[in-house]
Amino acid sequence: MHYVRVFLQIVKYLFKARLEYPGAWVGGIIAQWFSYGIFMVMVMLTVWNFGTLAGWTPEEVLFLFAMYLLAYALGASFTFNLTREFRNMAINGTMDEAFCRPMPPFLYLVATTFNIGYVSHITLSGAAMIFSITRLEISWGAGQWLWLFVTLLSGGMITACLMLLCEFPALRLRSHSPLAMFFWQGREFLQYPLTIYPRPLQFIFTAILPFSFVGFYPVQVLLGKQDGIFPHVTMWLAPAVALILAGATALVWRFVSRGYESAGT
Amino acid sequence: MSQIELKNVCKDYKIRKRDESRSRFSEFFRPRYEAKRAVDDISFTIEPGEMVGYIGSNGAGKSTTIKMLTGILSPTTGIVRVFDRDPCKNRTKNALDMGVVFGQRTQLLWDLPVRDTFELFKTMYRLSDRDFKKQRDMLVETLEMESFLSQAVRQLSLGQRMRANLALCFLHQPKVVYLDEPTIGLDVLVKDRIRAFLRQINREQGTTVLLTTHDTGDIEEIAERLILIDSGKLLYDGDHTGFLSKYRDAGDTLEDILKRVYAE
Repeated sequence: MHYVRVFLQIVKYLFKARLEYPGAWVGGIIAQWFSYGIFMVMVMLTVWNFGTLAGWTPEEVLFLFAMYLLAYALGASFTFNLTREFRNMAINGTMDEAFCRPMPPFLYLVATTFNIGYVSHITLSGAAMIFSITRLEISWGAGQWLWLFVTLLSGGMITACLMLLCEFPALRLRSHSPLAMFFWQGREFLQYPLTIYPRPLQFIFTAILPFSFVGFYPVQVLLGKQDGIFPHVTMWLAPAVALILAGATALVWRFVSRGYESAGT
Repeated sequence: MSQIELKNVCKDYKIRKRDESRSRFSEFFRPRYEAKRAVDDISFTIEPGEMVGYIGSNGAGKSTTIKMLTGILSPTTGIVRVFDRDPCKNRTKNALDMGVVFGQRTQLLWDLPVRDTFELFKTMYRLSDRDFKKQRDMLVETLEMESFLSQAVRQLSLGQRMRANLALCFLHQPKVVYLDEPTIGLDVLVKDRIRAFLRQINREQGTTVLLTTHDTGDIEEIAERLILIDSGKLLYDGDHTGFLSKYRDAGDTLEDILKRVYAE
């Protein structure tokens, strides 16, 4: 509980620091709304012109995209700035500070690099989700709403863990991680239903780079669909995948942080 | 029991071995590495309340030693104990009892007033309102920080920032403080203030101070005991007088002695 308090206080000060430059912050939010908003409209219009996309209606595709973006924003808020810093930490020894604080170094690093800017993604995807739910005329029970909540948390964790796992090599290599492209390009595929891709790609995004558990599989529970690889099983696996990835990330962090050599001062 | 104990400590860094005679192809596909010894078989102990000057030329291994004491780095061989604990395995616990300042690296929240970082440290170090207020007020008064406490850190001068960093380092009343070149780049007035502050806090709160510096003024005015290292090896460990009688030639200042010792 103590660490949560410290975490929240650090985030409060990061927010306060952001407000020192209000123009840049608001400008950034508007730019992100514009960028993702245009993309959403384009996808909706494209699917609308074709009728459906692999059996998914425009509203369902929008709901899937909103899930993907919201989960991405939740996860990346914690890890985006941190992973940007890995190379600098390894070269300039800026991780020293984290090892001298009375809290776990990883938690300290995540807190001090928390990205407030993702409020733009969260608000936009939240609005898109409400819009698509309304258009789909969905009436969910408590179970479905709970599943949506759990799925968003799982999706956020899967995103954060995959980003970290793909970027961790930067700490050892003191350079950009060659695996980073698997995350940044890989996630682009998941903006659409997985079933529009050939079977081998579906397998990759299910078993190797499990992005499909961020949106595609868990969304099927909510929309009453059964697509993809073993959908009757995979549609329920998002929380388990998130926990497995969290464990793997903790193990890899232990390995890479043990190799930290700081830098001359 | 000693507060700090190093026994036969060595620290190696793996560095790239560049060989001009090898082709670029070989260098690229089969790079060679060698171990560079930064700290070489160093042993010493430090008792509670000591003021120790840890001196040596650039690259002598001073910062590496401090990083091993703080738990940032682990020794290649040998034993490091702080408060009778392995600092690498007890980082969180040790951090509550130690403070550290690395040269000109700031630990302050860059865009916010100094007082905000104080508040954050209060929560992080679990300080009670009473302890926090008492120690903060003392630090603000002694380091003459009242005038810039509400100013954003980015707008402070180097001297003001260093004073604020020092205050933060002592805010939780640590038992041991490691200061890695705390007066680097500061003017004489600020240096004097910092030296007076360190003597005062050592006297009043019994804080152990381990200080690395190239400034002879720091050594003369703060350090009661000197540990001299060169190329990672311990050359001298003892009091001031012993140091002078061992290395001093007629008419030598401390600076002359250090120049000669570093050059040898």
